[in-house]
Amino acid sequence: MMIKCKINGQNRCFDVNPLMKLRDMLLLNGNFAVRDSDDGEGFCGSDTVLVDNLPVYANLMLAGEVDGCAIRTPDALGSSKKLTVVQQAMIDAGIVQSAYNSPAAALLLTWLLKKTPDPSREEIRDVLSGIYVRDAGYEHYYLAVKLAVEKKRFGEYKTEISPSFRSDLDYIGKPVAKIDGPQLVAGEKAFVEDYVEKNACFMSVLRSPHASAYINSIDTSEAEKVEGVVAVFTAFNTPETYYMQAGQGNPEPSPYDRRLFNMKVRHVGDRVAAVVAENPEAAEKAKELIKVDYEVLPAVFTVEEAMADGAPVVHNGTVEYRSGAPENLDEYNKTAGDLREGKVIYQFPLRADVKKNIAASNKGSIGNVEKAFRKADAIVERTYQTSQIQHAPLEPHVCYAKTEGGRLTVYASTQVPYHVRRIVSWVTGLSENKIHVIKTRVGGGYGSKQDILIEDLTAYAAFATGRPVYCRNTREEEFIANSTRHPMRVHVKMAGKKNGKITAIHMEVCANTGPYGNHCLTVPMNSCSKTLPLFKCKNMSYDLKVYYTNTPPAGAYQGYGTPKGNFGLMMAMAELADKLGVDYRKMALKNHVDTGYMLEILKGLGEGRDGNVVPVGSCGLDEAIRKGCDMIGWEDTAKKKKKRRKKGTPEPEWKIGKGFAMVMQGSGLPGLDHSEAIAKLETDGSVILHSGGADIGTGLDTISAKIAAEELKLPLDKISVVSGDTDSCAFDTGAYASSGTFFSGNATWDAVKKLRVMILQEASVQMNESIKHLSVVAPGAVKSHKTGRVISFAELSHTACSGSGRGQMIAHGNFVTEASSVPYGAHFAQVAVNTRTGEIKVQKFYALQDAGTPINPELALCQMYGAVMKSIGHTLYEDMKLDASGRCINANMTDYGVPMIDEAPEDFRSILIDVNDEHGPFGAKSISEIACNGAAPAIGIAIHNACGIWLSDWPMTPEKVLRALGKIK
Amino acid sequence: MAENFIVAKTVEEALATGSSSFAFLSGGTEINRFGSPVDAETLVCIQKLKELEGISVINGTGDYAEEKFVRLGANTTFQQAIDSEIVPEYFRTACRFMSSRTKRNMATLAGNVAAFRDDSYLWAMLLASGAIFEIEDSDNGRCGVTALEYAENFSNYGKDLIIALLIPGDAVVAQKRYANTAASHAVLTIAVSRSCIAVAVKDTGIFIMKKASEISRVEFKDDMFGSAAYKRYLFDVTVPELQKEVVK
Repeated sequence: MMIKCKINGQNRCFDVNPLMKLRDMLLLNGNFAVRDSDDGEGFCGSDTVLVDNLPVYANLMLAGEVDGCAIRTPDALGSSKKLTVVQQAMIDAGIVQSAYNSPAAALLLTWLLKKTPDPSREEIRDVLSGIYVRDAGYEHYYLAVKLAVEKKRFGEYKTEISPSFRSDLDYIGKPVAKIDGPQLVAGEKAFVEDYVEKNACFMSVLRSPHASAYINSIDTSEAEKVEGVVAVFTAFNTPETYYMQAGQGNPEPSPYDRRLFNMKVRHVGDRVAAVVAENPEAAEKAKELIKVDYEVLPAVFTVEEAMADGAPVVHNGTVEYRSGAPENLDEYNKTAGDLREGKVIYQFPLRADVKKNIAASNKGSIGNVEKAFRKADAIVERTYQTSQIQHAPLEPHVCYAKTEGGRLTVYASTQVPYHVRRIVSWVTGLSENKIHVIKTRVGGGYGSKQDILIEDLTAYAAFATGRPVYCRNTREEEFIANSTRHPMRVHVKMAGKKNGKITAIHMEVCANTGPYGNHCLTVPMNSCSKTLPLFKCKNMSYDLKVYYTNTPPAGAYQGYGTPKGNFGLMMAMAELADKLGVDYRKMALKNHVDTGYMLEILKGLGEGRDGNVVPVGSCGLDEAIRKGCDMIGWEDTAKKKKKRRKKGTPEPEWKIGKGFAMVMQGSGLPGLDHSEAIAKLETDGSVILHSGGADIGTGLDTISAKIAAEELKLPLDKISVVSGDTDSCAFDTGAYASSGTFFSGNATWDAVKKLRVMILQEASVQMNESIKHLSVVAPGAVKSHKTGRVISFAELSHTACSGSGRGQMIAHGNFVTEASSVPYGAHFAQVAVNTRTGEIKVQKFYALQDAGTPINPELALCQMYGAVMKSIGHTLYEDMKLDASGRCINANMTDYGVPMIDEAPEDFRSILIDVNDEHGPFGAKSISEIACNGAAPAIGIAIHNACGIWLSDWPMTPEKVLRALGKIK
Repeated sequence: MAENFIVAKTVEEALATGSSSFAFLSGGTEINRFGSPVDAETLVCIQKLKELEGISVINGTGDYAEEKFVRLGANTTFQQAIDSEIVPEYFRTACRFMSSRTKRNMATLAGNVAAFRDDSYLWAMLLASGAIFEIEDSDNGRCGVTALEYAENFSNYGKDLIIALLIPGDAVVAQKRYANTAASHAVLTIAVSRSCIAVAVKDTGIFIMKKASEISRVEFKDDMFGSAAYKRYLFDVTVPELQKEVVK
């Protein structure tokens, strides 16, 4: 059918099947910024376009429906060189972060402002109701609209974008437009899918319908006959290399317990086979023709089932150790099961016992916990349960790999390009010099892209076939075959004295790692190592065990285990305060750590090694608690409880309560993380910075550029950042554990400080003056304080690179440390609980955090909003539900329950507590992971404050409220 | 999966597809979405049919001669209904249950009716208000069918073309929708008018009754949206509140 329409004002004619999706037709036209985040579910809004001036989802329309229509796509708003007012305002407000659907949001806001030049908050909320934002939250979207309105009306912004920090600095601590913002908001080439070439093959993975089964045989003969099929991979024709998919420093504290394909499938959705074909249709058709003979086995889905006597064993093969093997290993391995079980290889002991499904364990203590419990005035002992949660980034896992010039090039949406390279090297057998990983822009990671879940297989397929191969997870695969947040059972016993002093804490953590052990030690360790050090308590102990089960896999997730451990500890502290008749605020203030306090508890809490006992460094915790309590109007919880008891009059069904939680995290992993950067002075005096750090939308490249600009006194536009490219940049462990600003930023700082010295040395030669008389001055020049002479970087560099020059100035920086720069904060919630229906509304949420010097304050605020929104989702709505066979029954966005703008608190504030850190670059610490840790306990405590119930399970649903209130049984 | 696409220029053309397996395509939010249960060989696009557009106030006829109705063309989108000042507030409230503005720009009223989902945004309200559908089929021509009759005989009417929805102008309907998030499927949508109670229960069905006690005949089910006890409890505590609202 001939479809005639206008696209962005141009007449277009397409001879296509009228049943083709409109988005696919627009892709044919080159409008690739019309993206897809939900496989056409009509939820995320990445595919938003205007048809006859109305916003619609392009995936829910057919080509045949737009015959005669006028279509407008996001990429037509304005180019990165000529942004519109709205696009610029979005960047300035800090909401263009991972940005997968930023162009769609820009289109919506542009449409709104055309219709309503000064829209109300309600009108903005309404127009954004069809777009899902996971990274930056929704709050600064209101700000972006306000800025755009002001710019149009007054020619300038009247509203402050964010507070500024460090008045002595030009760029650091100031809201300055993110350097990759224009490219992203304009919808230009940025993501993996934009680099896929026309001759690319497509890979589709056949997944297990069983939670546990041996594969007896696989017949791929019929599949291979399908026209266009290039290869079919299974366990029978791929290497027997054991590895793990966690992107961690090598040697990893995760067991090598998988191959590309295993002979035993261990969860519904596990890999069985992969088809590489010249088109997606052939791949799908071939997949259906693969015949698999399974021997179905019993499965376990919870830690309780996994720890039971006689439980089915998830990994019943032999165990190996690369170091520290126990003496009885041969004996242990004598009872290994079927050969198809494969192996589990530990790099070093993690106190595992795979025959009991224990993938890792750890325990430790300080002081005398038992004695303190005996002497306590009150003890609270509770078990808290968290659910299995998906990261749900807008851009699913996606990879494109090809061989060229005898090398393998991998385009990856990853947080860990160097770990991707290492693991691809293992599975292909290629040395690292033969592999080039290019981290593109990342459309949302949140930890899921710290795991190498798709790159291993895609790269192997390209290597084995010699063909370019593209693979993209469906949304369902994101749920069933991706990593998720470990479900955890956190048991807390806490003791205190009548004066509110906490005297003992014991934590028992049981984590469910699913079928494979990605981050199996480090995630639960964080439940203790990033929570117990909040307390000035002399007697503390922890005991954690991690179990293999047959649920969908677990792995890294923003915050690691901290949100779960913190949920348990803060809830227990609030209940203890309640039991002792002490105001919860007073108890928090009495027991939190402050600068200089020695954190003895950390000695056993390293990541697979001994931890460092360090004193608390910079700490804004006390200020965060006091300020937050003032903001939310904290009422003494002990007095409120008495008041509630006294009242005999009927109360309204909506009851209001307030709660808060202390939070902390880390800034990378001291002693483990490693970052490097290379700074090059170009011949015109500009700088190209090659950072090993992986900007995953958070603004790390902008941080690098600002650090360079500040140190070298150069305008920001004279600095370009190349990052996450394994060929051109130096090593970096990657963007995880809140390491970006602290580690990669410090590496950049080291590089540019060294470049600065080089520049001064070169100037000393060229100016024939002692270096002690020279200094770097803006804009990019060296000045002699003795003679007043100024020589520009351009002149210096040009001469250095001339026929008689001393060579280009290139500095290499690196950063490792044993120092800990810990961010602290407190999160406050006010909720309304309907005691008749169980409904919960988060009316107010205030996140107060000490991030040291926030280098990008506007981006920092948005990351706090985004992380809090995610955590509100985890606390109240999100939950992967499995049926009795282990199949996830809500593997789509609508049923899973991510929060949208309607779920955002009406009064939502992020506040940066101004504390300078001695170790961070220009005093900076980390910002976003910590913001995941407060919502669950703050909301849980607020619910208790409202209606007197303690909810101990995620998500805290209306049904659970009603059960706790005794309304239903 | 559809194989043919026909653009109907008239109602007659829409009804004369000649296909045994067809579906009318208007907004597309149900038919074109991933995971749609609609399985038809031919999609008949009815978007261009002028007869299916427009919102107006009309007088009732026959048994309804005393009443005024708001007539909403079948292709009226949820957003158009919300934006119209002549559409009764109770109807607009139900339309607002669809949280996504973008989807509301696309989804049509008749599409939601014909989908007959147990998490429908509209069905409880349509039943409680006593709405009437103007429908047409190739054998019997055009006729009016109450929402109740349509629901009870869905298998008979499912393939007929809905021309318009007639909404009683003076009906008083109070409603409540329960869902995990605003964008989630509803677990329970309850609508109460002076004469009846209607409820759409996820994974259970759509029911209408005179008295709340009649809910005892409904067998609620446990599912991922909530337990049977929870759903029943919500019904039990919500109906009296809505009845109070109606009386007010």
